[in-house]
Amino acid sequence: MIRVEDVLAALTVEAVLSRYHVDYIDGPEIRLAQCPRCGADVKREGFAVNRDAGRWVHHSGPVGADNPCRGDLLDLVAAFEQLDRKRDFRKLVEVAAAIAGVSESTDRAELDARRERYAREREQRTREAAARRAAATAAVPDHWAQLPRRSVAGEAYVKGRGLDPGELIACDAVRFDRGDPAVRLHAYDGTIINVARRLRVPWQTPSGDVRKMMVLPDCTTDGTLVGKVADLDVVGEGPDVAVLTEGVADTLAGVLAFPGCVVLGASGAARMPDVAAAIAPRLVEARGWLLAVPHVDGGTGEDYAALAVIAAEQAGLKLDESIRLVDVRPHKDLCDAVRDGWRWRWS
Amino acid sequence: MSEPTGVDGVDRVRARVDAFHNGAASVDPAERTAERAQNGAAEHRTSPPTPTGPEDAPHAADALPPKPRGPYGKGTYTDFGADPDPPPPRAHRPPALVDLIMRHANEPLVPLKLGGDELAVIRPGGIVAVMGPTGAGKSSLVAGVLVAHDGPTVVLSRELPADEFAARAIGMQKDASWLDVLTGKVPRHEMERVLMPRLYVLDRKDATLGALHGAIQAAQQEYPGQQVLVAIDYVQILESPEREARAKVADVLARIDDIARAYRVVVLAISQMSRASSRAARNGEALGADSTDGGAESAAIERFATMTLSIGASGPDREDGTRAVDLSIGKGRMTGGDRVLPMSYCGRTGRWRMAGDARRTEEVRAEREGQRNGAKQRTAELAMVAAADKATEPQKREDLAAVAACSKDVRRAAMTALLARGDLVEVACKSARSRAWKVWRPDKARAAGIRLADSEDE
Repeated sequence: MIRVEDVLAALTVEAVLSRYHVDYIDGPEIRLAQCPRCGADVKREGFAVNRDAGRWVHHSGPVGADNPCRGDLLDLVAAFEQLDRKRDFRKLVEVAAAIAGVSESTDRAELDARRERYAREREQRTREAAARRAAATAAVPDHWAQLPRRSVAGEAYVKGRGLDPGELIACDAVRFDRGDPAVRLHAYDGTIINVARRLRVPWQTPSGDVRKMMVLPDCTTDGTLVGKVADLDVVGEGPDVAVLTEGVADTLAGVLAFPGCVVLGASGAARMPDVAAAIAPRLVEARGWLLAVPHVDGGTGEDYAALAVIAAEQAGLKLDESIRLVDVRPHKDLCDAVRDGWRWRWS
Repeated sequence: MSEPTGVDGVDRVRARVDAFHNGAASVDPAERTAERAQNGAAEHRTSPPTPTGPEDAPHAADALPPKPRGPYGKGTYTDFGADPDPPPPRAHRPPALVDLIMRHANEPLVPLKLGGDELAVIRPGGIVAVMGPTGAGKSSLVAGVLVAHDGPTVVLSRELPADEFAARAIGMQKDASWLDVLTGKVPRHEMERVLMPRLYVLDRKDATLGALHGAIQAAQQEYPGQQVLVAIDYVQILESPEREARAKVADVLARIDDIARAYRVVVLAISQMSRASSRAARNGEALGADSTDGGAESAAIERFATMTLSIGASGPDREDGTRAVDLSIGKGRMTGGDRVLPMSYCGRTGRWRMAGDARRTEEVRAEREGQRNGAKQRTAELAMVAAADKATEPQKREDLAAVAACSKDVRRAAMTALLARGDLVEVACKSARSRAWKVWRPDKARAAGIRLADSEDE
């Protein structure tokens, strides 16, 4: 009987791709222009396969643990064969075994050796990834501490966006990394776990994506920009209003536009629901308010802001009572609004 | 709840939240992701869901963020912490639409010059597709326009190495061939003098649209306020993730269009021609608007281009090495198209110059038709005269005309001309049941003693 562990140990990315006649450029991360699972054409080769680990993902949005377009090599074979891993498992293993060159007659000792090596390598990779992430995260506070507080180019950029760099520097909301404005990203427990910088000149990746914001490699982006959840006061007369923004520029604009409030930025719109879910319980405890600032783009910005509102409501806040939506129209975001003289009015 | 069209900002947020409260969608991230993936798969695999009425239960996708899409495709937020993808398209509405107009209202139009003459004027953000058969001088024409441009120029030369492109640009100004420049026969100081100081060249493997962003930014930063002119040589060989040729060209042009509009630059995009279009261009059949769709592989060239320039039929080489060439302006958004420019091209140096004013295509076509038919008519006349000479008796017009292998109109015109000149005459005899006089050569009729039709009338 063919064991799935033997098949997985023997299966390689090259064998799978070659079986399905997929042309690719070889490298540690192989990028494809079409997802074999959902059939979507991915314009900028957003379908990535890690050659060594055999893990693959179709970057179709915020990557969730249960995104169906991702998995291991067996999932990849299932994707190409349009099989359901659970329902058609036996057939899937047979197909994968044929690709891997594993059969009933394959020497058992050799299969055992392969399986052990595969398990060792997988553990090793997991350990290395965890170690890399831990080391990278541990180095973030030092990295932040070493960033210059002043930069001619960076301050000029901030000023060009209509924000007062002096005020932001004075409250240590912004520092500068290679001339780009940078802000710290806190974990929900308050530790600094990443630094996000707003690129003065957006970067075009080799695959064609344009990035306006960069973070440190191997560090998570699940946290709050500039402010900390713990800054919300639950006992005394401290700040009990959280301002939820997205992106570096809007978060810095929030610091200027909402004095006395705790400005908590999400690292991209897709992170807004996560941040809202993390800060809402504390706001409930503090009996405070959440001011959500959606981007005005007629789509993604508002939709993620809506999810953030829903997440906050599930924790006990209520729209139009303890949740206020900040309307910056006709501007497209808070930064532009502040630049043009917009001011928040409590009503 | 249906899609809140035309709603943005906090109103859209409220609509989404209401949709959730009405049971339209889940906020659980796991379900959210799965649902989005399902929606994405359906989008690519099946036709969109058919709306069955406003009273329908709200669609689950309504309260979800749409599958991210945008000119640059997907980003990976988690891995890189990038900003979210651009929003899906939405309708422009007044008064924001007026803002959109006014945002670029003060931008000066970019003149495309050739020597001292103005070839065309293009709005920043436009694409000019330059097409022509192989070896017709497309790259040289574009180089000529770049040489005459006052501002910085960026060249994405996938086909020619940078030195060969520069040699072309130098040669056309120094009346020297490529080879003369490349072998150093033009003095170095002359090369330095004539080569555009604001030129940026990305060649061969470096010539990617990704690199183009950087080059344009560098040019705009170094020469602020000046109009950047970009040349791409050529669109069919630029890299694209698409595999199918048409999809590839369409993808490349879509990205070029994004770049042109984002940086407000004019792009001269050189395009190969399909074989059929090349043939038509060389024969002079594809003139003016008919040359618009000549680009190989894709109708996207025609669609994205603000203007199409197509190199067409050329005359024989003159003594000075130049030849007359038609340059068709097929499409000219805002400036009018369907015109033909008479040009002069020197194949040795690659120098183009304008040889006259643009003319309407119909005018040129009529002239060409006349010339072409004139030659055919002369051939038909010779054939008819020869047949009449050989004939032993007067001939019916139809029999005589049948010897000329040309259209009925040309035969009729040839016969009329021959009769008018007296090379053929109508004699006083008719075929049975015919009302037309037979025709013959005048000397033969005289020798045979047959009276002419005119004399009988008299």
